[in-house]
Amino acid sequence: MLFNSLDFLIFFPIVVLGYFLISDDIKYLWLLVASYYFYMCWNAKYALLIFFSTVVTYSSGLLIDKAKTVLQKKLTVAVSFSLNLSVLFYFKYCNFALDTVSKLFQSMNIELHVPVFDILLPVGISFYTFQALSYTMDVYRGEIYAQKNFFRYALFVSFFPQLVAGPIERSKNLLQQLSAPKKFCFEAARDGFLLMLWGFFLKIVLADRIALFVDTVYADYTKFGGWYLIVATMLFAIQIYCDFYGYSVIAMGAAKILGIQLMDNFDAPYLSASVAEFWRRWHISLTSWFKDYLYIPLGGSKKGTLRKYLNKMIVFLVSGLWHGASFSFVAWGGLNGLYQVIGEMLKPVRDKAVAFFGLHRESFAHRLAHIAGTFVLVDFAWIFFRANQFKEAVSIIKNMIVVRNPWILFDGSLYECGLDQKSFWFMIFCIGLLLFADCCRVKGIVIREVVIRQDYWFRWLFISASVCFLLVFGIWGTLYDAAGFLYFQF
Amino acid sequence: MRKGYKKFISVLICFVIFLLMFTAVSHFLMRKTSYIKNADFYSYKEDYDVLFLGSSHMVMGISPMELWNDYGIVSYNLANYGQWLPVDYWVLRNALDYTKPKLVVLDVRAIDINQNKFSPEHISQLHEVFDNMPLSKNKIEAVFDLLPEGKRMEYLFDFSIYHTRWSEIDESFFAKANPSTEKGANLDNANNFEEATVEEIKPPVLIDKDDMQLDETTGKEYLRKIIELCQKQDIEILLTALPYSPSDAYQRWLNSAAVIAKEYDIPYLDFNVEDTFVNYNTDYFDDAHLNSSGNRKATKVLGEYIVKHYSLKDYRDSEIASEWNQDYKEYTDYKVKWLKSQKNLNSYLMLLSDKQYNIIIDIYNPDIWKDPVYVHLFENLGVSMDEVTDTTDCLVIKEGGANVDVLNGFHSSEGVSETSIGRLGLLIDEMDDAGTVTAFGIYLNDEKRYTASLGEQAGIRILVLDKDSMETYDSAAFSYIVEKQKKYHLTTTAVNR
Repeated sequence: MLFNSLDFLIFFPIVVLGYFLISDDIKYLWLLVASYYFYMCWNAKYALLIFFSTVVTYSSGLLIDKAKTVLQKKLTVAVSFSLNLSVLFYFKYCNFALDTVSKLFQSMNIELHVPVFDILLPVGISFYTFQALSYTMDVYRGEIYAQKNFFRYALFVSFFPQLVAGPIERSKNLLQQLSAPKKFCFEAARDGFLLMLWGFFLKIVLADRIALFVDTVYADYTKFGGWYLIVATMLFAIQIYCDFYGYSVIAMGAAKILGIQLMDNFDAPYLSASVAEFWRRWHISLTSWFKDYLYIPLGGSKKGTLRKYLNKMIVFLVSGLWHGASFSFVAWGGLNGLYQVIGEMLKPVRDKAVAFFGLHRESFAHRLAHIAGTFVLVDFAWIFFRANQFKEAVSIIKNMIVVRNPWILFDGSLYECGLDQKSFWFMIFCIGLLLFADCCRVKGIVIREVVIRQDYWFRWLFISASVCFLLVFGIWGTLYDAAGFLYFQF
Repeated sequence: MRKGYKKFISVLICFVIFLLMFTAVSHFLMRKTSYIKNADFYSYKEDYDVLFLGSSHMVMGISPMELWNDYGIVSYNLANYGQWLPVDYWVLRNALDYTKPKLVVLDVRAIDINQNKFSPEHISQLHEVFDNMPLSKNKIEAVFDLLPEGKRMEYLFDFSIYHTRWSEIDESFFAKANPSTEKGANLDNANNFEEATVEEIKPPVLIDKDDMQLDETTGKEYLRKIIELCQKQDIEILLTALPYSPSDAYQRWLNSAAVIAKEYDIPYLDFNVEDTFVNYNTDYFDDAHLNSSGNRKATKVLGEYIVKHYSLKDYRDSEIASEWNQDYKEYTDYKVKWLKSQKNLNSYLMLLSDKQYNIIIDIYNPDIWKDPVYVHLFENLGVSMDEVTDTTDCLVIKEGGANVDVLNGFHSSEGVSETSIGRLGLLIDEMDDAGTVTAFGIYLNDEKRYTASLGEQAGIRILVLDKDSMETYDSAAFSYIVEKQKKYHLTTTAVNR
């Protein structure tokens, strides 16, 4: 079930109404049933995979709790990780691995007949698997007690707002909240509703509109070379942000209406002044997951500079692989890791240059230049993310450089790439709104709170006009098949 | 508790404001064509005696307003473009929630269509049918019956498709949409006041009426459903096949409707016969649909049949007459406005075949008789070619739908002639130094109606008057040159349009 579907618009109010009407004792069971229904609307059979992951990690929690030795605990963690990652590997990486092996042998002139499995990638498998594994680790580290109530734990793994595209919640935050039934809070519900409106704006007004342009150009990148690709790639950076950020915000809003606070997943990432800062602000729940459960166990930065660089590269290569079973994703992850390693290696040189030229690091211009530079680097890496294959990404970059057509920025050619002139400029206007909102966020201004502080008549008009705005300007309805959220596939 | 109450009221008010805003926005962005066509039907408080159903043939073919004027019949044309028989069935079911007709006239043109699920090319046409249909159980059932899964939402909630029209907003969005004055009918391009169309088509090669295509189709299935629905509700039903130029194969389909009519013991009028009332040279919009001239003839013939065979009340002296007369006046004004917008002589002459006009046609240049297209159009107005001379100027005077006078060589000298519309006089207005007439005035009942200068003598001037008040509706002039290629061809230019 998509958030931007009629099904969800019917499903969600029913869930909310039921949740606040039924007895506190069974609230979590109601949400559990709703969550499984939510997932099964996509594919009923694949709900078994969530169930399997739930059983394994729930049992591992109990076993770790009861284990008497560290070895027993470690063994339990290892079994839990192995079983969960095996399922993930089979459904997500099996064909990729077999294909890679086959090509490797081919390069050595050895013909290998490897089978190709017809496997449908379960929606959100990487999200709920990582969330469930974090529980095993947290229990192992003694950060939380094992959850005794199986159904409550099952709800933690399958909680519908963040089930298929995050944020990847930690047991410390979510499990505790799910254990304490919530009473209806008008202020929280209103805030959640406003969050959902903002999320829908990002998704159906911005991301889906930008997608019309980007998809047109990338679908025929040999025809749309040069500046077409440059503009499309810049827009793709915004598209993927709006798409994923939109989903996260809708998830946060939906959870908030139910009285549950999910973690922030994005913090104005494109206003970052370095790639490292970008990754602290982008998909925060995943980055922090890798930091806590991979980077630190690998030794983090405490085992020397070289090891730190290696650990960073490992984390980003794995992160690339987490996003998709393809070398283009690995390249994307690797590139982001490389940016940071090179950035750190060149830091003494950069410091000297700043001192030599007498630049002011705190000045607005300096930060702006850094923000622009970071955007260019991150955006360049997105090419590998967006392209279907590594080879395709290379061809796109080549077409971007070789074809010279700057006039298309002025002669109206851009209006022939899936968006007419009015839609194109409306998109630019909406990107301006997003930039404004992100700047407010950086300054610590929460626009929702500003709205709520206004007189009641303004709030009424603002909320009503916002819903009408979404309905009119959103990409939805007959002429448009509701596009899935990009991050479902991960 | 009190605080909770206030919050509840606050949410409620916010919701009401949203509903008001949304209603205004959705009305603003909605395509108005469906509203324009059928708003009149839904707003009428009394019952219609006759409903017309069918596809484009019927919507362009029969005019309820002419039926009112001629016979006092109270009717509405619920036919529409691409409205196949399955759609007709649901349109009728919906209509019966609003009115109780005594007679349903159904055109069976779409009898061959063997599908009830609509494909993308008909999506737009179906919107014409459904957009203005109030949401009801019938409408929901209709949408589920007629449309495949995934295509239904836009008919039940048309904002889901029309919200994208924000990028098309122009002046027309802010104009008030007025319901059509045609009671559901649609005279070819009259809606947008575009050029009326005259298309010469080949007469059909008629086959034997017993030669039939008896295969069952969805069209036939729904035809039976319509008949049964009418009979169940004690509504008489008349099947028609309005005239056009059907192929042999199509004639077989049309012939097979007679079997169904016989099965249910109901009349079937197939107008695709040898002795037809239509003129294939002047009465068609294209090879399948009647134009305004054809519409008038079909309406007249069908009206006569209805009056003769069904005991329907003539409402012209009833309490509803003033309302319908007012509607008819608006309809007339609309037709006049359309006539005045015409820029082609052939379109203009076709539209003149309306009996509400008295007409003076001043033909300075007799070359017009060389082009058979115009000969047919004048014959359609009732002018006999035996009466005109092709070497001199001539004046054609037509009174309403009846008398036609032809005055050959009228411009040769000053004088007065008695005609069916009154005393017509010509007086010289200007002469040059050499004594040549440069301008003359045309007088009707001693009142000067127009001055014609020599410059106009290369063409034709037409004066259109209200049949009753003799008030001038329009005065149009066209010049033309005649060229002979394979045959004579007239190239006309509107002089004063």
